Amino acid sequence: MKKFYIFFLVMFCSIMGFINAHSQNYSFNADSLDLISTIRTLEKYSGKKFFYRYKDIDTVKVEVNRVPLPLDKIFKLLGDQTKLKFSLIDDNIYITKFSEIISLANVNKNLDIADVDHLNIQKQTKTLMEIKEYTIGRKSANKTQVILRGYIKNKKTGESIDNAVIYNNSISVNADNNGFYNLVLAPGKYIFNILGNGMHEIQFKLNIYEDGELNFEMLEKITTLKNVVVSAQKVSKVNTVLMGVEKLNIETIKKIPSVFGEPDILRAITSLPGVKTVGEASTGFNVRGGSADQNLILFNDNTIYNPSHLFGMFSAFNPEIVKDIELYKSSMPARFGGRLASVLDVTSREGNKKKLTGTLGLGLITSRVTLEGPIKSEKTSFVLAGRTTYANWLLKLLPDEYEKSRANFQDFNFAVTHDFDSTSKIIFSAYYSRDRFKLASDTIFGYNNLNFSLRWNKKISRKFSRNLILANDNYKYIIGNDFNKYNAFDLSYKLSQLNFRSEFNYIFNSKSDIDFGFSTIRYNLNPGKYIGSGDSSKVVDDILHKESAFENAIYAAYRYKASQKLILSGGVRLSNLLVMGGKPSYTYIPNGPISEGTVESVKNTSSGEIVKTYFYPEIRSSLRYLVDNTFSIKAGINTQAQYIHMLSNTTMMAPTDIWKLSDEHIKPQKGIQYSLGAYKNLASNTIETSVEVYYKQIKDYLDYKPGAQLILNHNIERDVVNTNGRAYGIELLIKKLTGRWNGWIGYTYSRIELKNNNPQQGFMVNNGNYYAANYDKPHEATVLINFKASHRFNFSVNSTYSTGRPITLPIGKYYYEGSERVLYSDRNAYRIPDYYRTDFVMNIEGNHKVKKLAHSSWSVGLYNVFGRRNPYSVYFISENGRIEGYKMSIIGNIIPFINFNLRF
Amino acid sequence: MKYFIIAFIGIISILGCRDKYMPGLNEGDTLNVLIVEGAVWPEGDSKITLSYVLGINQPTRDSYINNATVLLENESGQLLATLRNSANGNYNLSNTPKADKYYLRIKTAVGDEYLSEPIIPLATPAIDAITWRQNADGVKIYVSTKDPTNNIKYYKWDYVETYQYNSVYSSNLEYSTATNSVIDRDMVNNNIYTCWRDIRSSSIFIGSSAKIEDNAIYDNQLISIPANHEKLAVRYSLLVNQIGMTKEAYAFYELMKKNTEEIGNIFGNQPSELGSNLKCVNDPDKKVVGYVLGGSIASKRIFIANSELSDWRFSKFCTKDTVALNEVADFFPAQVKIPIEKLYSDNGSVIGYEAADRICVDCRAAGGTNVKPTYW
Repeated sequence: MKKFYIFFLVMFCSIMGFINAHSQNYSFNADSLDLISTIRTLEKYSGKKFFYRYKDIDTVKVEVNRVPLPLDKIFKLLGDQTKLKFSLIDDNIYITKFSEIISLANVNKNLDIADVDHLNIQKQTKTLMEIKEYTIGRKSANKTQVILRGYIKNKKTGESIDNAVIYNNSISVNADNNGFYNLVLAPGKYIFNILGNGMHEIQFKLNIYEDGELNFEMLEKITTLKNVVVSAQKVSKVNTVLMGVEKLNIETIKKIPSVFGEPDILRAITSLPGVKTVGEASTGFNVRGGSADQNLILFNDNTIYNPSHLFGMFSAFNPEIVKDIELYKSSMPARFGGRLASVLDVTSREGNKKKLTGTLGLGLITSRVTLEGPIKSEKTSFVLAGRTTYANWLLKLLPDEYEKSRANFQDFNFAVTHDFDSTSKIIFSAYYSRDRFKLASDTIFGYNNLNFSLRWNKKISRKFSRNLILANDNYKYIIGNDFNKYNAFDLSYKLSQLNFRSEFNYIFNSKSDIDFGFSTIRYNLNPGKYIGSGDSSKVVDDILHKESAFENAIYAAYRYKASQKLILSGGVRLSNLLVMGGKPSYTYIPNGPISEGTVESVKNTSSGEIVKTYFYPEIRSSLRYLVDNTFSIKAGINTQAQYIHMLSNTTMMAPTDIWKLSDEHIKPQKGIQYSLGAYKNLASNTIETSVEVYYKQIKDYLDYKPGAQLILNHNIERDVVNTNGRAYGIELLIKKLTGRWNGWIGYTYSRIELKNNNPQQGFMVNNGNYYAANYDKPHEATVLINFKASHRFNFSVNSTYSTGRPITLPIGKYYYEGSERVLYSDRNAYRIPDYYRTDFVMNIEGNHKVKKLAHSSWSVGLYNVFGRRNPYSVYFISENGRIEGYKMSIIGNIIPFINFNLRF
Repeated sequence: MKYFIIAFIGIISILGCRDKYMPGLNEGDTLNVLIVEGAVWPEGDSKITLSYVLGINQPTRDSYINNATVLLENESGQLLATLRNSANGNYNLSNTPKADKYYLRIKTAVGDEYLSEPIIPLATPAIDAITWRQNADGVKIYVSTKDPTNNIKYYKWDYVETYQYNSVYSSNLEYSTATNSVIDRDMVNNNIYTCWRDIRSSSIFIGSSAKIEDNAIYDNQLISIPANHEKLAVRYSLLVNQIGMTKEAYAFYELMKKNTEEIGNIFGNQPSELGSNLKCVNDPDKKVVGYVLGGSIASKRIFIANSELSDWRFSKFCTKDTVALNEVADFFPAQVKIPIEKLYSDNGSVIGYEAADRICVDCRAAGGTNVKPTYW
């Protein structure tokens, strides 16, 4: 960053002015400059540091001297013009608006702590705050190894700061998601720094001789200090042993333009390398060749089965409550399992522990409100959020025949956090989302997520910690139709699961530690209920048998730091599925296709009976080798098993997709991924680059026979076939997260191919050859650029390109049943035209007075700036006896948007 | 689901759009893929149509297979009858011999031989009712049916709509090419004011009673006529043909319907491979598309007169012109205009004709025939 900064200054100087420095006198070769560049120039040539409030001086223009003058004369000149006070103390110059500063003590009295945050010069915290020194234990204790632990929290809000880093030249330790850290050291004297994302760096001296505890409170940065973030980046990406992990905090997500200006978590992750989506109205995403159902989407430990609103236009996470997201594409920590492709871990914010605050957001489609604050003491806090839509205006624009259309959705979050003490913390979280829409007809579609979770984190001793998690997840959808009173029906689907998880971490010494634990999930599914509605309905009720199962897992992952350079991590997860009875169990003629005609026998099973057991050992291993402080190489092998599958014969997630457990006939999906990566930080760690390659095999992925019936099918095994797949790719990322200009460039080359060649299944796709999956888009590139014009204006441009997705095209036509019809090619033999889109957003912050009652911000932007009609699909239909081909775009125009946010 | 999809396309049309798109694909004439369509009707008229698949951009739809041998066999391989080839790839057999199971064998001129799976003929029940209802949007016509024996749960319908319509102007003159003059029209044999037009169904209409109590189909919609449409301007008739199907046949038609009539929705339903109940004997990899049904066909006809409807007004815009005697050769021989009435001078001599465009005078120009159907 520094280089960049200097480059910037040089530019400024050459444009704005030029300094002539002889002895202690300075002159400018311009008559008029803005004050900022005057100060920067003086700072550069005098070696003195300037402290000021940016907003006091950012618009001020001054007349400057062409004749050389000493500094005090220059200050007088500037002071006379601007009415600002320039105070020189030691080698620092303080610029204040009202009273002159006479001594440093005065600074602390005059400027309260928040005002100090506004000071625009790096390292001012070090200048103004003394470095604290802590001494723990007696030197005479003579230990060989000591442990320091504690937690790090936000001084202003009392919330924990996750993933803060405590480091010095040779050691660095990350605090966990809840702010807890453990530092294993040899006794002695140290100087450490603490970095937290968006926080002021803390430096402290430590003289430690026995085990001890230290808690830190960090101050929020209102003006981003560049160096701090850079260091944090360095520590996280190059150093960690995990690979294929992408992390975005909500601030970054908010800078990514989205349709209607609504910050969208799922849309944001599709801008990362290796993550693709089949189209714009889809929140389903594909990670490294995985299908949409191979992603485990966790929200505060809850599994979210349908993370979308309004047919997939929005993701179902309220951006106001999300703290950050982590996406594991490759190395899945052993504590996660049950999905092949990825884990998306969405964490919500903790409530403010000091005072009651809230936010209000108004957008074109939705409004959001949050309220948070302490409950009784500073140990307990809550956060409550709600979001609702008024999308009906959008439907009003439809032709008259859609007059009756209605769509609405809501989501609610509630979380309570309580700190018992520095070693124990409990979090309760509740989530509810609801969608209802009725379109053009009398069919009502609706779906809900309802989730609760309870997490208890406890440090049992200095070396041993434990997290207990209990989560209950419910998803259901209902389709009602009373179009024809004789055929009126309600069709519903319901899934619920109860998950208990226990995670342990034990630190052996400064070189090794172990994660271990177990998890059990009880699934209960009502896979389909079709009942007549109304008195005249002649519909015959059809209720599918319930399905239930237990998914169990135990795991252990051992991390060993062989040297400063080499870290190894080896893990095993033993997972198991117990399929419970309670419905008729069919057996089919062995080695033949499974169909109605090959049924051998049927027997009834009781609900307490285990009808099938699956058991798979999964491997989670990786290593990191640090070539030097800015360059590392990592490798990993991961295997996974997945016991619950989404059945969908559409290319994207639809509200009628059903989730199906593995059973006697439907085998679990299995996957193995080999990955290799290189990570290099450039330009004093301000630019982060990475290359990752992977090869992946997928076994027993579910595909469908032609004309498969997925809804209300009592014997779904007769309509599905097992498919194998292979995926490989390379992902390149160059990322700069700090500075006035920041952003990233990502490029991915990847393939995913499926193969269905088992003649015993009675059906082969494309004669048993490999064919491209629906979401196989070999080339994809994304560029995201943010420019921070000032503290109040921020511009972002996002551009994305990808190869068109594969499609099955008509290759011939024929006449049948009174109409010309089309004959289709082999599956996915062609591609739709390539995709390209650019968006633009401008975020405008209100002024930065910290003590203002409410802070407002606006975001204004354009989605699809060039109005390109990116085809979402190409299709051919018979219309009035003729074949017509169409390409359909979801967003075919420029979409302007505006959003208003208020924080109080 | 269907309505959902339609509405979704509606929403997308505000934001998004669809554009015509015909990628340059296979430019070949025909693909060696057999298309077979038809039904075997015991003791009735069996009809099979054979054609090849045409290249997607071929303008013609003439790819019928004539001169093939189409044989009907029974279970023990005995020949029951040979279907007779008429034009346009049609093969007919009247008074089809009765059998429990039929096998259809097709031998094409290029030497491919195809054999069907067993075709079990079903006794299609009579159509219960064809009902219609008028609302502000127009008229909708429904079919209801029921199999009292509970054997048949799947149905397919096709229909022929016939409607009577009038041209805007009634002409009592015609231009005789024999005499190159305008003569009085033969109002009995050459009336061009009233016509009847047939429209055949061009979509797949299928229904299932499998999930309905008492195994009946209630009000399955076949036709929707927009308000004030010409079809109901005078009198309208609808002939519905119904055939019972097996579950497999229903699955085939449902898939064909999904593949060719419902593909363009937002969730991107995948087109899937369409099969056949015939297989190529000499090359099992050769593709065949089509499902030959077996069973009787039940038909029912209804009439709807304009007087039965409330407030149904059809109008067409036309203007009359004057054609002077010296202009007759420019307009009438090529039927640019059709004479309607003579125009006289004050002294009573013919000085020209009142005439109008053919579409306004000759009802046949709109595609109908002026021959009254026998059932009318």
